[in-house]
Amino acid sequence: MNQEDARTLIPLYALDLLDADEQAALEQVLASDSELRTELEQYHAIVDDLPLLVEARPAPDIRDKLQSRLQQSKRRTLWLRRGYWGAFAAAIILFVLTSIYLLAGVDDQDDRDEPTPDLVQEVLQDPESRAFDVSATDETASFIGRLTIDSQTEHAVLWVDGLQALDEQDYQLWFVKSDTERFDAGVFSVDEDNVATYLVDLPEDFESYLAAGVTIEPEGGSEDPTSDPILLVDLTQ
Amino acid sequence: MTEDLISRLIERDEAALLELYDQYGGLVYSIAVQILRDAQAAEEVMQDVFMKAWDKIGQYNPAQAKFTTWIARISRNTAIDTLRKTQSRTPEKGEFPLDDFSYTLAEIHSPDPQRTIALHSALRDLPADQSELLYLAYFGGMSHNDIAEYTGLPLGTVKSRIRAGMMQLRSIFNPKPESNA
Repeated sequence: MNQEDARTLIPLYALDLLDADEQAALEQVLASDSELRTELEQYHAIVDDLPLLVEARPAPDIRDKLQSRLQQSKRRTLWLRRGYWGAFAAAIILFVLTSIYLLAGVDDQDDRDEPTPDLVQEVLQDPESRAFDVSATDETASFIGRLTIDSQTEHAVLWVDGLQALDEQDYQLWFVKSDTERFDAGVFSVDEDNVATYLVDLPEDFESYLAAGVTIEPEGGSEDPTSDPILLVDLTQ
Repeated sequence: MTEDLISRLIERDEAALLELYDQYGGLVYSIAVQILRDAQAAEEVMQDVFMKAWDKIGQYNPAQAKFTTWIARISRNTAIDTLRKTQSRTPEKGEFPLDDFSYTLAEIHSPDPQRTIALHSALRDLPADQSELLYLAYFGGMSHNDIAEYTGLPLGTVKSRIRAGMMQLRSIFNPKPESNA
């Protein structure tokens, strides 16, 4: 490609209109021709000004939506940081809890999937309990739910209506304390009506936890989340 | 103004993101709605753009581009990506307002209002068959082939009209004759 051929392509290049082959050929010429590069800068300056020539006004509530997105993003970021110390801390907590269960004669974690009706009702009906709405991370999801926390009994009940039944996978609940600390609250499934009612033993220092979330994990659960959460609960509200 | 705002964004100051929105929301929305022709979709894109700016502010290099240019490019690319995801076909004739588009001056966003005014005038002075194709290329996010199919013009004509329009605009801002060998 000679300089004149290149010159005819530069205006189109500035508008991102060239195909990959034309673009590569032109870039090769530009690399060694400062005069053409100057022309390109002049065309770019025009293209950069084009968006300044239109004006429209967004709806006034977009600012609030952006603020909400920012908060959601923060919780998500918090969630996705899987540091070594987080895994280590979670492993210690899990070990301690497992030891307590074993000493108390509790069989295994699967028993946690079966809610104890009396205790569930106690948590839900305790006037001191605090209820937090769950937020779906996928806006198209159609489930609703609530996490009810009873600090008196040190239990919580996660109730979600509309979750899909899983095949060879489980839902797993996590509590998140900081960038590096997370508590595995066990796995659960849904009943034939796609409703999950899951009784949770709260971590000891529950008040310091910032969020809870549910991920879909291989059957039996994972040591750390292996996927993004499908729902989140903001515990700071 | 912007330097301080950028520093605060890098420090993850949430209030700075809202200030950024206050300053550039109109620009971002204007670009998105021109490309998408759908207010609701444009508002979604708008939120995406500001979240991208929040996440990628560390990549912004003032030596490479003005901040307005940087965020305008993010806006256009995000809107075009959205357009292509939702519209895997050449738009129907009439989907873009070829006949009634107009350039409304948005002086508030321009670092060089005089230049912007001149560009506005220059665009209005271009032959309509050139300015319309420029509009489709930039705000329609269309390729040459898309524009040719959309307008029914031969591909070569599309290229030559866009080229002629761009060369005319450049000649206004850079009147020195090209040094053709």
